[in-house]
Amino acid sequence: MEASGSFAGMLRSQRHRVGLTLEELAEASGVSTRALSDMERGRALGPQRRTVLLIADALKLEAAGRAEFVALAKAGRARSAYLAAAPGLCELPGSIGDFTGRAAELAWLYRLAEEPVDGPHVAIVSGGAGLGKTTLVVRAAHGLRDRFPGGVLFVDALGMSRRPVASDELLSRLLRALGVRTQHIPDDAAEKAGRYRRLLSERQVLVIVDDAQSEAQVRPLLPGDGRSLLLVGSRRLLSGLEAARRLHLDPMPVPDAQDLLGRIVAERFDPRDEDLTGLVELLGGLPLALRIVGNRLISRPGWSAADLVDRLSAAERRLEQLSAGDLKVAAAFGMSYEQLPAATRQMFRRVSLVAGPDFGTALAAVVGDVGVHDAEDQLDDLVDLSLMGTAEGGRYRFHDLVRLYAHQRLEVDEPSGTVTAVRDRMVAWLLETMTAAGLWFEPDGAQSRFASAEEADQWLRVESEHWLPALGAAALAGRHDAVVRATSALHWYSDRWVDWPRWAEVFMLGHDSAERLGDPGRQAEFLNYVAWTHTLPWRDKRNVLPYAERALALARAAGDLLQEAWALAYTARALGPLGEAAAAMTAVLQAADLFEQAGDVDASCQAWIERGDLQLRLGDPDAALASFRRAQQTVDDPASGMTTTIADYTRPHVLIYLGKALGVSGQAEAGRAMMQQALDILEREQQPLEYAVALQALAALYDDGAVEARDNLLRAAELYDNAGLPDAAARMRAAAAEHGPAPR
Amino acid sequence: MIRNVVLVHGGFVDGSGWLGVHRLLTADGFTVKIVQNPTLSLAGDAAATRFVLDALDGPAVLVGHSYGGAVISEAGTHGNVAALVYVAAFAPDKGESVDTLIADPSPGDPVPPILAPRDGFLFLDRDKFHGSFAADLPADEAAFLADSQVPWGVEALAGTVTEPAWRTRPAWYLVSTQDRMIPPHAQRAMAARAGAVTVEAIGSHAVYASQPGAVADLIRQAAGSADH
Repeated sequence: MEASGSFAGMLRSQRHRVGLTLEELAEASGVSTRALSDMERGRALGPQRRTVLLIADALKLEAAGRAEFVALAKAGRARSAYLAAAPGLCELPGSIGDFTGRAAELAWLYRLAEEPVDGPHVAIVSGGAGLGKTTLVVRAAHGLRDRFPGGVLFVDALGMSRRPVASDELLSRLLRALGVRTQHIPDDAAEKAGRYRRLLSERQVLVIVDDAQSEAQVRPLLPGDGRSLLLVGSRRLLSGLEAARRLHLDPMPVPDAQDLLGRIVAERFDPRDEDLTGLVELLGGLPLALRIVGNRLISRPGWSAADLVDRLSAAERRLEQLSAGDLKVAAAFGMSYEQLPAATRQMFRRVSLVAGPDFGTALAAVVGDVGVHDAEDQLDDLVDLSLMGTAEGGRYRFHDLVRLYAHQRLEVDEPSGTVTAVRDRMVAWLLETMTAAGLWFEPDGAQSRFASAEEADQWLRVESEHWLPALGAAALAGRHDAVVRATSALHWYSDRWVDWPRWAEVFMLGHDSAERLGDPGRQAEFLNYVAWTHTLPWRDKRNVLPYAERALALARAAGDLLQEAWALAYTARALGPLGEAAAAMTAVLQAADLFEQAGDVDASCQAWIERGDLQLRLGDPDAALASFRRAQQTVDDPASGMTTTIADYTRPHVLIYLGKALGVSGQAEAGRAMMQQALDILEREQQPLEYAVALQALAALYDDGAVEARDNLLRAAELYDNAGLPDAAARMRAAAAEHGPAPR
Repeated sequence: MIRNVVLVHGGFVDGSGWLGVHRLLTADGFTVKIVQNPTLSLAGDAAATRFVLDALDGPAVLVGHSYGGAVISEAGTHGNVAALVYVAAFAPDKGESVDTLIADPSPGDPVPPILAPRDGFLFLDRDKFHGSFAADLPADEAAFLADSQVPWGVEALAGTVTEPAWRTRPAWYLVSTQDRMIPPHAQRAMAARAGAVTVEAIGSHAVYASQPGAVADLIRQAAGSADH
């Protein structure tokens, strides 16, 4: 066999062996073409066992070949225990092979997809927990694939979780999946939605939003006119969405439920077995419960359906002491739970302590107190029994009814001391891991635990729903050293993820713990980070001042020059845009002085640039020129002590500023030469947006009506268009028009 | 959009402090109910809150100030609660109470001027009320609050939360940064632990009365993003 030792290689060779195209394999396995193609190219991190088995079935792999195939897939996963695929592919999950019933509902959805409509085309499938909404919607989407050549996109809105996904984030994911690059996705919510609607009107796309929470969450995702369709699954009716067509799911009718159970257990039971009917009566028409019980039945060869009926009735009686949820469902869960090996049972109940909507094997291993491989095996067993679901990127997710059940088992089956100990261990592990991840981005930070900076970055993003609450819990438990260590390790990293709205909360926790520890220098440092979060372009600059002011006082008390300088620099950065250039100037001069005393060349250079900018605003171009030249010397002098990467990044900006200042002081030609240098660098560095900014600055150095000014603005407009920023492009075109009509 | 708001006051005071918030939110068309919880026991206050929740026609934002945070953590699992808003409030975890949360103050934390219990009830030192509880209210209003204190039952402080609602409901938190009753650092830590979206307001512990605008803003946000 030419399996070449990799899952990707074996998948490809086995597909060729049976003579299937990617599309045919997708059809046969229910796994999407894109997912298969990613797996063959080694791009998929680690397909779930269930997916691997679906593919193995479709490839008709048996015995040894099958075992090797599964083992290779698993080896691929083990390497990525920390890592999850970035959400944003919006991959449609595979459809369940033994899907049964719901024929009328499917027909309704298929018919709806064909109907011409005026206005947005929207359908909502609503219904209670465990009725199989997701399964139905996914099944329908697979059936409708051909009808939507523009693609089928699936997003999980996590509506029943504690923290549903914001519509803004859903839009970003969908835009990425529609091929818009991350850096080209507009920040502005309205612009984002506009771009999404335009793409949907140009193509024919099926968008599925599963587990939607509310009208407000879905509304920005409505398509405009065109032939795209939005399909929403929700536990709620979402009656506020006026134009939508609605389908409400009820429990399955008894014959369908019987049929479903019969199919699940077909390899061992006669579907007409009367005891199966008894089971259906006990469970009601809830597919989730039927699936869990059915899987239990076939994994216990010694049992008959009659045994199960007896046990289930007993379980239902036993469960009467448990309060939450539907008793029948809880009994079905109990059936499976009680037959699990002790270690898997422990894993099942303990992962209910995880706060976020989904989790990876590494965190599960910590709460389960087992190795990562064991955790993975246990979780996979739970997935096979339908007690656990899977999420994007090889992660796991509870159905919320099952989670409720698991949590109740935790309370009944573990002493409360254990629960506290498990929580503490989880908190400690999250803090240690976030510290290790953050240190990857600190200058001279240790590089441990993760294989690469990208992996550390991914972990911090994906696990933020877990580590931020852990920080709070650690602070309440008085573990201030650990809190300070963890938050301070994130300082440089926060610069890589500036659009995360919660940095101020993180750094305030660091500040509070530093205060508990009696460390004013550290307090000042954290307050400066908080101030920084408010200096970001889309934030209200007024909020910078109180934090910077307090940081300044603390830094002075602690005799910390560098933090004093930063507090002043942030004050200046806020005062400038607030129209207080003179006060800002005072602050920036003091900051520059202190940076120099403290010997921080990088910051010093930045202060010179800011000083020049303020001098320009205050109408003193000569002084500004001197400041920018000073910055330029620092950037260009290899012996200045400036960090090379920062100098390289800063150089074109200094040139642009110099060009501007020269223009204002009547030396337009010299200014244009500076701009040209900046443009050359930016072109080499492939920074199209910065390039557009420089073009705009260059245009300002020509006289009104100059052809060059108009051309530069039109080129900038083109770049903005390519970057998916139509509003900026329109502004450029309008400015260009003021220099005369565009060439034909 | 959620149209119901239920407000739960804390210890030493009654529901009348919510006047400003009530005014702002009813002007926006919200239906606002104020729980007059007797603050004798946590179970009793949770029951008083559920009594109000039972009578609503739809989902609500449940808001608690100070000790009211413990009450909403306990009563917030009610089916009509779609979101929780904590205002300078306690957010106990399962098995925690106000007592356990204040048991171990950090060095440097302000000490609330609570007098020794009298017949099982707590009072604040009348003369220190203004500075400690309501520094940003006018002196005469603070004096009125000090003289109209509601006795706070020690049993209420000892009541442990059984199933914290913030574990299953979206939460928002308003931190009052000049609070001398519940230190801001404790507020931030409880907020983070609860996964709450946190906003800060420069104000005293009486922020619910002194800055009704900030409180109403946060409630509107919660009502807008946690639809039912």
